[in-house]
Amino acid sequence: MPSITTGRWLAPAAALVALAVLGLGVAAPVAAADASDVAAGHELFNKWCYGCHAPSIKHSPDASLLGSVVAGTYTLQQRYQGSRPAALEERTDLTPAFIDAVVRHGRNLMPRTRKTEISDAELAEISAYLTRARP
Amino acid sequence: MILPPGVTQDDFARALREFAAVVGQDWVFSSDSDVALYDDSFSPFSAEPELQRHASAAVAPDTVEQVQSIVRIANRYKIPLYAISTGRNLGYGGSAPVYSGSVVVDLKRMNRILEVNAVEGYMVVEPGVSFLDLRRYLDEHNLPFMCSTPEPGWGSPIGNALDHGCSNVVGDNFGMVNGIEVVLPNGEVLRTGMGAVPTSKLWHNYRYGFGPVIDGMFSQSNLGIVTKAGFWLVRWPEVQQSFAANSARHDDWHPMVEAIQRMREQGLIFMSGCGSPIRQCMSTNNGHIAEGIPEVNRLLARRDGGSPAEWEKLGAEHNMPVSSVFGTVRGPDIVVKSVLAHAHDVFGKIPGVTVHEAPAYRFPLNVADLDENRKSGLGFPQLWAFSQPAVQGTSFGHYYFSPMFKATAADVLAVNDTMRHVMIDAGDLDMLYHFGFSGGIGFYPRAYMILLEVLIRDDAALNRKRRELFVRLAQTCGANGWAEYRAPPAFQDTVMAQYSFNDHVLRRFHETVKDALDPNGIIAPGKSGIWPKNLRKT
Repeated sequence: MPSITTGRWLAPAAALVALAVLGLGVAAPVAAADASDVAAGHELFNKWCYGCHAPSIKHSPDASLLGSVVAGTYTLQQRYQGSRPAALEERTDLTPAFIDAVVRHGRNLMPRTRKTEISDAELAEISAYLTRARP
Repeated sequence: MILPPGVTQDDFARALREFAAVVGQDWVFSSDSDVALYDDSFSPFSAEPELQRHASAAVAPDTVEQVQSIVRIANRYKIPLYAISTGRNLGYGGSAPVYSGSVVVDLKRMNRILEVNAVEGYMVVEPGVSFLDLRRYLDEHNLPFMCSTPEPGWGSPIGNALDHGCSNVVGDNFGMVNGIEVVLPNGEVLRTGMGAVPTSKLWHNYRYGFGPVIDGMFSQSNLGIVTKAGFWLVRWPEVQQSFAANSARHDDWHPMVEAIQRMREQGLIFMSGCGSPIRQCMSTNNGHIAEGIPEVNRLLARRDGGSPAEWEKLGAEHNMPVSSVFGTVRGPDIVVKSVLAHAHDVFGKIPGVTVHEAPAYRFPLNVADLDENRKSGLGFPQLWAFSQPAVQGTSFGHYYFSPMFKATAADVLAVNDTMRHVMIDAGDLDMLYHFGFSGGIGFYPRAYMILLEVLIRDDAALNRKRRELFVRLAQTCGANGWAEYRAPPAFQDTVMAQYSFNDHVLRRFHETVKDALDPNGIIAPGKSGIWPKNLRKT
């Protein structure tokens, strides 16, 4: 299968600058977020993100599909080639600015997400979940 | 900031203030960054930003009354509006308007499931409800219904049905619509069918009411903004099961397709289709993985497309059928078993044809046990479909060329030949190999469609070449009587032009109605190639 390496940002210049500053958008996790934000963010992640960013399929009566991945996870698997986890929930290097840029401006096949779908406040909760402190 | 064409900056600012007075300032989006969220994420012009269509602003109402007020304000200032439901009609325009400078009426906040009648088997929903929302609601309320979702589940039942979208659960989703509420271009609210009887309790049970049936005038249309609709639901069956019949012989395809369509006509199966596995095995269309048999592409690149004897020889060498049909049945166990027995009987009469039964799915299903790519056909929305373009390395998504033709083997072969010849004549062998060969997809009971996926690349020149190919395909297929059922905004004029009987009387009829109902031409100018008087080219 072809690897996905030619994708480019559809983001406006400001977001590109923000990402450049962050070095491809990864940095040390931010300080621990409020627990209720994290819980709300987890729920929102499951509603809006999980469909494309779930881990690989672990249960399937069709053995040929075992280990196959959904769109977002597959794309990130190709991009990172094992250097970072492909499933977003396993990442520990995401930042709110990076998450904001990707959600709002899309990337590769991921379309833009409007504020009527995920409000700024909800996006902050999703960020809180994905950047939560890990044991 | 983009202004609606012909509207002054002052008037536009006044209109935005009036929109804000109706919906609240938080739900009017006019900054460049907020408005950019409405661009088409799968635009055929993704690598040519100067050609993309953009909104001038967006406004997100929460109630029917707010939609009415927005329409009245737009009339006052002659501002074009473009309504979206969930805005996820990706590949067919997404959340971007057909006419640049329109204000998008984003109905996502109108996301209420107003009623699910479990006894009579219907639901009433608003446009912002997604298939995923609906599935969640049905599960949370223990309602034993399938969700007639297309493959990507974040779309809207209303938006999908109005654009003539399809599902593997019922096929024709608009066919399940029973009763529509629509805000007309003058701001009045109209209810179709029995909904026009103020005391009626049958709005979602009996479609026709009295007088001309007008529901269809609000599908693929620009005559109003649909604010709610009733849908008939598909109750969980005891069992759903598919089967296929295969043959190594080319000539068997004709009686096989006739037989499967006879079963469909008789109401024994709810879904049918046909294919030629050996011809299709090198296709990468819609995420198919090529099998690695170069001889297939060599035959398909030949103008005659390979002789029946050559395909039979190749099929035998690789143990792949030349002719295939499939059907799906659902219902009580005894009925499913009887239909399958009948299928064995019918196809057993064609010497050499074998029938293969797929696994039986018994409801209620444990969704965790289902393959991702089977979920939508069993009523579980998901986003697996996006894995298909993802594996093909596109950065900007895809769009579809989708002609309709007769549900016969002869027509499938003829459409394939025609499309191949257009690609050969255009010298686009990459596209030819991507397409390969397509069988007939039977979402509709007595017609087949082909879905040719056009991938959007980083390369502007290649994208331009593919758009030109699309137009040639539409015109050539149209000239042969196979016009499309649906199209991205960039090609809607081209597709409407194929419906040209009697000097385009159909389009002129739509224009007459459009001008009468929407004299200011404010609702979705250009949708389906129907332009209001002030924007029509002479």
